[in-house]
Amino acid sequence: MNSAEAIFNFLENGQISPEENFYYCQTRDRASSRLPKWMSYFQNLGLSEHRSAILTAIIGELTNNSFDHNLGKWKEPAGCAVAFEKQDDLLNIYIADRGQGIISSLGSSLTATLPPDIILKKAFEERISGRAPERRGNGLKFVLKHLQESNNSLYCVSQGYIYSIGPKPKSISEEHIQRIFSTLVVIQWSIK
Amino acid sequence: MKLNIKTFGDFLTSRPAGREAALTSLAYNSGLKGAKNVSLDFSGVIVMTPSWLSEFVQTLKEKGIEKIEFLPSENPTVISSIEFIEPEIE
Repeated sequence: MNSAEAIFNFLENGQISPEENFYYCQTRDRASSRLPKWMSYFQNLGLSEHRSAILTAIIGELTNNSFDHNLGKWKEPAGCAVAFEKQDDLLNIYIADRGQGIISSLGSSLTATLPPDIILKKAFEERISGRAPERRGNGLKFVLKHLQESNNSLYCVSQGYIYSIGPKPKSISEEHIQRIFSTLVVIQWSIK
Repeated sequence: MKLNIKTFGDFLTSRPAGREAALTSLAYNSGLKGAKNVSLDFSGVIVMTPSWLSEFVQTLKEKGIEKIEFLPSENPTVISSIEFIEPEIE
């Protein structure tokens, strides 16, 4: 089983893979404690300290979002899964959870009823949060800014809807997309 | 009053950790008692997110710190986190 298959097994069936590059993080602390290891992995792949730090911060924001917006809303197992897959000059990073999904999370705080794909777009591009009136909502903007500045890609599927900058990862099929009831984010990061 | 952020760790990413760091500082750092101005020194921080810094700064301000200065840093995640939260605290 490769990393992508392990992630889809987690998303669809809640299975936790023993795959080497698959990390199940039941708690926020478990995810945070693995960031130094992941940053070392990026540096070992040849990324500079500067780029490794940015990529680690991006993963930190995305994994924290899983916990910020889904506590008490999971389909078991709780938490998120992170997996890495190197394909030629690309590192694919998968971040998945079995939570309520971005559209449900953000939609609950919007006053207007909007189409799901617009809600998903707003989550990434506007400074808003499903946890209003708490002053939040800059995490995904930070993620987007740094991916755009570094010419890397993001492909997010939440509750069957898509937000992307850059191409669809080869590992994701239309069948996968339709079956994702929660959230999957895939980052494609150049390691040239 | 200068706060050395590295004392909270070198990977600073989550909102709960940012809030806890601020509350702990306020409780146990005698130099912060009654202080109105704080300078944040990011030396030694490896990875920071705007979520951690936002929560840290918001908590200090809620508890009476009026002016927060960010000392210069060369770390790209620190620089970017400061840029992201500055509109929130102005």
